Amino acid sequence: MDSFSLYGKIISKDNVPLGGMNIQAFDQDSIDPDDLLGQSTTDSNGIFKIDFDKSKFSKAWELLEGTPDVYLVINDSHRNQLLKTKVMQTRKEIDYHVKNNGEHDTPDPNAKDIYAGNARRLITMLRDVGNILSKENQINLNMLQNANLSEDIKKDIQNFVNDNEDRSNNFKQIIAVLASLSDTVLEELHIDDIGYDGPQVPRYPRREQYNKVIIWPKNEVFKWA
Amino acid sequence: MGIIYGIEELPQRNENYKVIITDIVEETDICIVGSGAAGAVLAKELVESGKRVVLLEKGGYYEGKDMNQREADMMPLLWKNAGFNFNDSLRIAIAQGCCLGGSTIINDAVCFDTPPRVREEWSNKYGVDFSNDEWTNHLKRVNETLHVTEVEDNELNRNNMMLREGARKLGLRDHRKNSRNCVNCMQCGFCHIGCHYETKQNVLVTYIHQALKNPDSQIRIYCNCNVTKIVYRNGRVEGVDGDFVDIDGNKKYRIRVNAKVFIISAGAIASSKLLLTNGIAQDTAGKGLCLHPGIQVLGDFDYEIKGNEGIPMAYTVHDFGVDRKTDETRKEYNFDSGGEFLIESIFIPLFQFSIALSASSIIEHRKLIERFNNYAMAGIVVRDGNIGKVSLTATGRASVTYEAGENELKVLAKGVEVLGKMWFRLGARRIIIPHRNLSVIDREDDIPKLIDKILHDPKNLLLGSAHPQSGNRIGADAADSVVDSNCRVHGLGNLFVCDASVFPTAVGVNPQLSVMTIASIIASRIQRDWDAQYGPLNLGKQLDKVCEISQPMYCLRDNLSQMFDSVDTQFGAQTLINSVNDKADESNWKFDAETLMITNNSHWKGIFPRDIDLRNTLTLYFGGFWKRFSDSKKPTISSTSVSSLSSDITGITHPFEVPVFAVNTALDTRLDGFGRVVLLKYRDPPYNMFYDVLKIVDENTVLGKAFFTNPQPGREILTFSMSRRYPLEYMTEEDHEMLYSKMKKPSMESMIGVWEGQLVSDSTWTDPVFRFRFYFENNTTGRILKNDYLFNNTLAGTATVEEKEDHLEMHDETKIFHDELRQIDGNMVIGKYYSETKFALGWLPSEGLSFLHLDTQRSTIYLPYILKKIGNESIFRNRFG
Repeated sequence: MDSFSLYGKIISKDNVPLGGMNIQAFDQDSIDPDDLLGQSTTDSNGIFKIDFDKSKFSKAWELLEGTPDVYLVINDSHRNQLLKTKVMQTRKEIDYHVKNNGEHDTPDPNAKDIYAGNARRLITMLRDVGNILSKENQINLNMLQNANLSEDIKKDIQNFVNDNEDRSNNFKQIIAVLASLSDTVLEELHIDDIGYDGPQVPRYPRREQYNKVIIWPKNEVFKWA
Repeated sequence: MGIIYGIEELPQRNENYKVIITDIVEETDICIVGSGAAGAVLAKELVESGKRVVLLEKGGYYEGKDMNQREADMMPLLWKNAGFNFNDSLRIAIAQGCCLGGSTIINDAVCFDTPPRVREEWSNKYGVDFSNDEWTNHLKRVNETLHVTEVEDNELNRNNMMLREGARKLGLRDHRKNSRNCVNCMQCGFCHIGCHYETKQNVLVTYIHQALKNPDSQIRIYCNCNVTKIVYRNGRVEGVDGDFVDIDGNKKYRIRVNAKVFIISAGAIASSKLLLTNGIAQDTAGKGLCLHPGIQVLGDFDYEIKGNEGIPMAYTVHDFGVDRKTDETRKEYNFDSGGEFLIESIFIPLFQFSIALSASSIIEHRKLIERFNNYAMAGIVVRDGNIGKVSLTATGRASVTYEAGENELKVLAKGVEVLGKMWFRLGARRIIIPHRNLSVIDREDDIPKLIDKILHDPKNLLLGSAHPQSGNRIGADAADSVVDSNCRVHGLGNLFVCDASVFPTAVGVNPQLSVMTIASIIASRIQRDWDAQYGPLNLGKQLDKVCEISQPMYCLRDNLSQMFDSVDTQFGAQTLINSVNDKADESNWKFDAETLMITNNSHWKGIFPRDIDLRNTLTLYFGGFWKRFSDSKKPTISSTSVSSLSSDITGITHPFEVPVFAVNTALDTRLDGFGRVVLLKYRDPPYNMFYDVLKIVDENTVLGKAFFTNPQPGREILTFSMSRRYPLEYMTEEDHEMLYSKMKKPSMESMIGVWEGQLVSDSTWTDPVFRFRFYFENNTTGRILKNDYLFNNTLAGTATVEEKEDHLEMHDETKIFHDELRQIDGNMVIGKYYSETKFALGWLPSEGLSFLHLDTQRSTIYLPYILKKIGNESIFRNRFG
């Protein structure tokens, strides 16, 4: 695991590839100045690649430095810094996708929480689905017993009623999955334990300053590359 | 410039957006229901041809910056039913969008042209008469507007490359990169929950944006708007009605759209539901639904794949699809006469991924999730037959009946065979499918066991659907199709259905381009035929049930209050005087059968705004009232003479449910903060602490506010309106009695069909609380008219109808109750429900006892009600054939 690769693509806020951008990759050190791992320029498709090996970040005295803590600095063709990515560890590669917004939109800390009330929406939907099991089934049972139905309608209602056990099992399954996943911080929980790289933007994008950078670290070279 | 309206306060939007605060009445050229792949294309093309367009969308308006890449936050906002969209067995999850832009906001941006084989089949077998030129030109137009481009090699993520490599290993012949409507994709992998970066060229950022930004554009888009009613008469649609619904599902404002042309583009299930609910195409709508059922097959590998990172769907195997270039592979796999399927590379974010694994037990599930970064995933998508159906249940819900048939299962099994082999050849340690009884195998030799399970234990196979289509197919014959080749509904000259529901058969590939191309073709045909067929149509300007000063009974309290504040009284207290006789009779009561309006001058009927919660004790007492005014001349003594007689207008206020008759005097005066008004001062304690301020807006309409102690602006305790000429649904029990006495007996034939009943009380009608189905039954003596009834969704039974001299009479078998019926018009019947015992009243809703009315002539009580016809036999049939 001695060679590493950083690659990616940069587009403008109008979704146009940005060529001629200067990309510098650094390894963040806690005490010493950050090591420059390498640099490159984006081609006309906005694509860049920086390869480096361990020697670039691990000096003789840095015995604990196994994996680099990588961040990119992106400068325009005049060397003005456009943005700095957040730090990400990798054992092999990182795939970057950057949308350069230029001037940031001003964050509004009081921007309305449009997700509030989703719990109510979800509960309403679940209840509507549950009603198919209870209320509607009851009505159908009642109609079968009391109403004078034609044969074809009777058959369809009977089928519905016969399926109720299967339907009930399916519903239990849905509830079970939901119950085990009801955490809205599910993604955050899983980042560490299964190595899932989750959402790449803040939960309230309008309330914060953030870079539109997607960082996908990989720990192996792909077998079928 | 166009504008978008909605009910929610939203942060800064890209487009012009306003929150609505009143009911809306629209008059326009074209009204489109649904803003997805079809609706958006139709809206833009028609507005650019100079037409006025109103676009109605049930969901909300969300754009890039709202998409926070978290499923729990985004699915309730963007997905229909927050993702809980199932068939009746709850085994097949159907993915559809419900937001501005529809399913194009949440799809994977895959673009496939309509396969030539399918176009031929539709043309030769189903009479779809789109010419080759039309297909070609409009397909091109759509491709350009959406900026469709082929995926680059360097855009294939590891999961896509697994499918490519697997296809190579098996020697498949027809596999390639997808084309997508996405430009310089950021490859975040969150397509299913909205594109934060606005690189996905969904219809919101393309068609809808273009429709709005043109300065000459006359388009208005209404979000959070649920259309429920299509109003039609004599083969022509006059208007649609909808409600604006807030996030708790409460109806707030109403909208009525009057237009020359109406297009339903609500998607495969909702379009059928809307037709059936309104009694249109009752024998054909919803029949032959297709779902493209599919399953995902996972391969678990010893190397890292991280399939969620990157473009979810960028590679497809077409060898077995309806768009294949060669039959060789099918022959090789003994599948030559089989059906058609695609193998599509796909990966999904964590939450949905968990659902895909949900076939396994909870314990297994946890262990399976841990391998998340090591899975490759691809989906088998089956081109199914027209084996499903959308229908209405007894409670009015849209029910999707669908089970994969033998053919579909065989196709799925073949797909699993091919894909399973592929994964094992690439080194999978096991593969996983969503079958509850066998979900994991770890050897290629065990693939036949999976196939066996699929074929012989299908009830435990969890399927998914992302492409519901058909159900309202195009065809020449109204007996087995819903629309003609112009997508016009058979029998209705100005109503169209245009979305995936019009496909005669399943299209066999991801359908968005096909939907948009058809929409584009239809838009151009409507333009072509406009001057001759649609332009000259007379636009009805009907208010229907929206809030307006001439019909304040339809208003919400805030709107009513604002209306009150904005006017002075137009008439003096003199105008308030009612008839001398305080009971309804020939001299002061009239019913206009044309307009369905009752005029009753025995009193003014008081009506509270429709948003008052009737369970509030205060308004339960005052849940309806009348005021009656008369003039009483009395002499006044002035310092100079005794000659003049001044007139006092005196009134009585009586709430319907309580024995209160509060005497008052009506004075013309001017009040600070109110302008010119008629002031009611109550005479006797305890009412003399109350005042009513009235503003008479026309001969028959009064707006009012009640105050405790002196009236001051903003301090009202009640806001109301009063009317002595009002629509049928505001009738009092006395009105019901008068109306019944004037109506005639209906014929037995005219009763056939399904009716909904509402109880009449003095304050208001109930929502529909019972349902009748009348039909003829043959017996030994001839035929008898029978009625299957369903009361309050709890009690069902059957009754027999007899013809009496001046009414129809209905008896149930137990003879506990009987009904007497007369006819108002072809779609409305007025009835009385007489019951001998309290037992038979047990089904009444809790406030029901206030509906009972005394029949003075028979010394018994009855329930007055009104029946409205909602459809013929077949909407109650759950059958396809």
